[in-house]
Amino acid sequence: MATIELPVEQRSPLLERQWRDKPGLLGWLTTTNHKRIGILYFWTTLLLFGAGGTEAMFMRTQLMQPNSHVLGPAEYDQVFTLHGITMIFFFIIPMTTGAFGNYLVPLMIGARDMAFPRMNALSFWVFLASGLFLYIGFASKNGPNGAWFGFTPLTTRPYDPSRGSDFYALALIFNGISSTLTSSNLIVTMLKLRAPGMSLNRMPTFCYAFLAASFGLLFALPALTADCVFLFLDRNVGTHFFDVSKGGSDLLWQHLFWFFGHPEVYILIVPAFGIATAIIPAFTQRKIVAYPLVAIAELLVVFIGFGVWAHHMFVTGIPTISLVFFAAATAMVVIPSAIQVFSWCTSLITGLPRFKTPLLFIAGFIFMFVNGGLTGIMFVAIPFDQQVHDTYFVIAHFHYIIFGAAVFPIFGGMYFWFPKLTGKLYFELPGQISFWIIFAGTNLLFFPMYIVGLLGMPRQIYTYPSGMGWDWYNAAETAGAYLTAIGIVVLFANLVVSWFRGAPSGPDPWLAPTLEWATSSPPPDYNFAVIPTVTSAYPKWDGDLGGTMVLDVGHQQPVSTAADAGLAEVIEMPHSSPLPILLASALALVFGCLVLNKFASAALCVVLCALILVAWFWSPPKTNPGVALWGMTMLVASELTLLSCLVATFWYLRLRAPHWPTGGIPEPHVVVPLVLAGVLLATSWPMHLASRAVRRGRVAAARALLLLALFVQAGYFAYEVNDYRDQLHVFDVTRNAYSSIYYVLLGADHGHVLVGLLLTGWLLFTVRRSAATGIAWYWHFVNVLTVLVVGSITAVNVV
Amino acid sequence: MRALPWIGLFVAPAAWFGQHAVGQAIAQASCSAANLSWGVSNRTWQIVLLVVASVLILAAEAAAVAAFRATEPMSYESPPPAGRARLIAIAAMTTNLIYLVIVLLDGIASIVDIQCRQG
Repeated sequence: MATIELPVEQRSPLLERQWRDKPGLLGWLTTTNHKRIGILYFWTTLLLFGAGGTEAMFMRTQLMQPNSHVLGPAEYDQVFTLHGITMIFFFIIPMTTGAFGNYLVPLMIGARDMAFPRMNALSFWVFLASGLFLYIGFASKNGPNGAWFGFTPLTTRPYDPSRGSDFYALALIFNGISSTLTSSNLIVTMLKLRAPGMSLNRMPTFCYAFLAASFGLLFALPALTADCVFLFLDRNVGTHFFDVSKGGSDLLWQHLFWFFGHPEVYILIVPAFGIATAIIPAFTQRKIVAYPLVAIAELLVVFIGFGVWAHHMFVTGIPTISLVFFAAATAMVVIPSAIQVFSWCTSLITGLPRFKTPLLFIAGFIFMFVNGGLTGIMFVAIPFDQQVHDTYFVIAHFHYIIFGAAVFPIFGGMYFWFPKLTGKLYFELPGQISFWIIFAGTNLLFFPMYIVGLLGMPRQIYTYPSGMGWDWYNAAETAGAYLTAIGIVVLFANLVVSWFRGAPSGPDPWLAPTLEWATSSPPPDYNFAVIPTVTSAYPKWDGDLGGTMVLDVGHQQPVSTAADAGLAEVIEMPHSSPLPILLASALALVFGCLVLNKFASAALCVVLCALILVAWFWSPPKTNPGVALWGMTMLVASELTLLSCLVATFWYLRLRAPHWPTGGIPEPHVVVPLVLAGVLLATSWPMHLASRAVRRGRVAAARALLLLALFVQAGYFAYEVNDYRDQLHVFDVTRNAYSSIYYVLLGADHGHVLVGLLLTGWLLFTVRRSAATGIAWYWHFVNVLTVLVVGSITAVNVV
Repeated sequence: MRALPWIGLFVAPAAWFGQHAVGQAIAQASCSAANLSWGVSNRTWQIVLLVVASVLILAAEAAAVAAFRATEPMSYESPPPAGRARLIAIAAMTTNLIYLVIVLLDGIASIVDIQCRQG
């Protein structure tokens, strides 16, 4: 480890050379630098925001007056569906976690890059490919048309014979891969790469918000993935997950979708909370009030959000006895939100607020969030919810939340960090004008929707007759939409002009407290010439940052302990690589083949992906085993949630059937699969010993133990695959809902066993220290999974 | 002693999530077609879940209070590990009460109202 010997100014050119990307377009295509990836995310999501906004303008123009024909019913269905999908999956999430998270989190915690730089680049290219995939469907007259929540049976083959719902299901799975990679990366970065001294009680509240959103994404997305896989299989393979006549259930779609969908709302707004807690201290020059409660409230709101999903299903007819669970949690999730609102307001009142443009947007956000939040509480009352369900009242509520509470802070954040990205100051007066136009426009747009909703106007109708009392409200909403659009144009025009003509900003024009303001504007590729040492959550207000580590030998980054940020080790980070964009392209081919039902070609493209992954891991950087283990833990957590969704589906379908298995299918064997699962479970022991031997450098012992584990695993896998094939001769996957979930569940388990086998074989071949613990950990997960799957299939018959 | 703040922070959410997931699954099962042969007693299970979850949350609250008192002269801004332990204790003491209220609301409602009528 190098320490400061020369003045930092003389060290910087060396760091500059080592961290610089390749020049030109090639540099952008192969970059792994978090700031460049953040900028790529920013421009891409902005483009998609333009697309989603244009769709909104078409909708509002259509609804401006009764009996309008700007759009036909089919086009309107596609436009409102795409608007919802684009704004949620392709604008707000990637703008917050992808653009703001990527650019700011490493800077705020004093790191030089994300924990997994190549995975970071992969997440962007996958995101871009998934966006193109969705819009290619629209351009080829196969746009999805079943709303952003894609309820069955409307999206099943009999009701949607086009490829629109296939594009929908595959685009969301594809996009989910990107979000899962980003969230895993952010979590490990925040837990393991914090600057020395930045213990959990000194981490900025902005980071707590992004930590909460990342955990939310990691555990919520698998439910959506499972749902979309079922939908794709029902439409293209002939399974019956949502076919009531064959034992399936339409409510299954809703349960899985809203298990993802409600936490998703908090995932959208919690990063905005983080932006607010970064802007308020800078413009009031005081610490945020009740830091510990704000930090935990950000995590709590997402966590409780996982327990409220069925409040979207109050009109589906599920028993009252089930609904009460969700009403209680829905009522209580208000408390952590309220804690934050009180903290922001108290900080503003007791500080010295300077109402510059960023703080104006935060004040507007608080107003909009309280407005949308209060109407959200009204849905706790089940009878009220049932009255306004599927009316414009709901549209008003969630647009106050999603536009008011998520997009306002994003705009505020754009102004706030503009000097950091560009080194220029924006023009203040046009900034304030843009705020007031947007604030007036959004309230004119969304508030009448409450009234028109209470008057009974249903959502998702492409037009309406005159004489319903809705005309003037709709005209006002459309005027509000155009006013909002003008405000947004003023905002971006101001930022573009400021970029070229703004005055130099210096490193910290706001006297802000967090670490990103401690480096130059724009920051150098290596972020900090000297790794800072932190003594509070507001390090820049503590005076001299201190720090002794320069780390100018290669791409070095200190790794810290998760809780207290003590220095653990210095690691070498990967640098620019073409592999992420190649892997994303191969994945795009997989999804392209799937949507065309070219399954053999898709399998070949999967092999291509596997070959790229082999190249990826052929000569990996010297990753810290602790960081690798955290990465594997994130993968396991996501996978375990996905498989838990499959197991829950199995039990859910079982509950709906008086007898099981249905359709005259024979009961599965009990004894042999359980015994074999037990034998497989026993292989965890040699795997554990092998990983320990690898870490201690006992190569021969490690290889012998790995060989033993591999032998048993391969035997199990061969038996199970043979049994699977034999059963397919007795009843196939298309017989009924039981056969569908049975084969999908077992197939998913066998797939994981195969991946575990390949990883064990790879470890046997390489005996790599940094990977040993992670692979052993994955194998333990596979064993738990197998016990869970086999246990469920057998237990259901015993019960 | 070092584990107290973590116990205070993590036990209550686990207890709530367990009660929530298992409780609503049992509620659904008790009103399902499969229950014609299973005979699941909703009320018994909900009482058990309510008691177990409440006891766990109260234990977690006690752990959080103990951790808070053990770090008494320190502030949550103090250097780790004491400062970090105090931050977690403050967070846990607050959130555990929220979990307790949800568990009580869930449990009492599902014991009092055991009808399988459509919602």
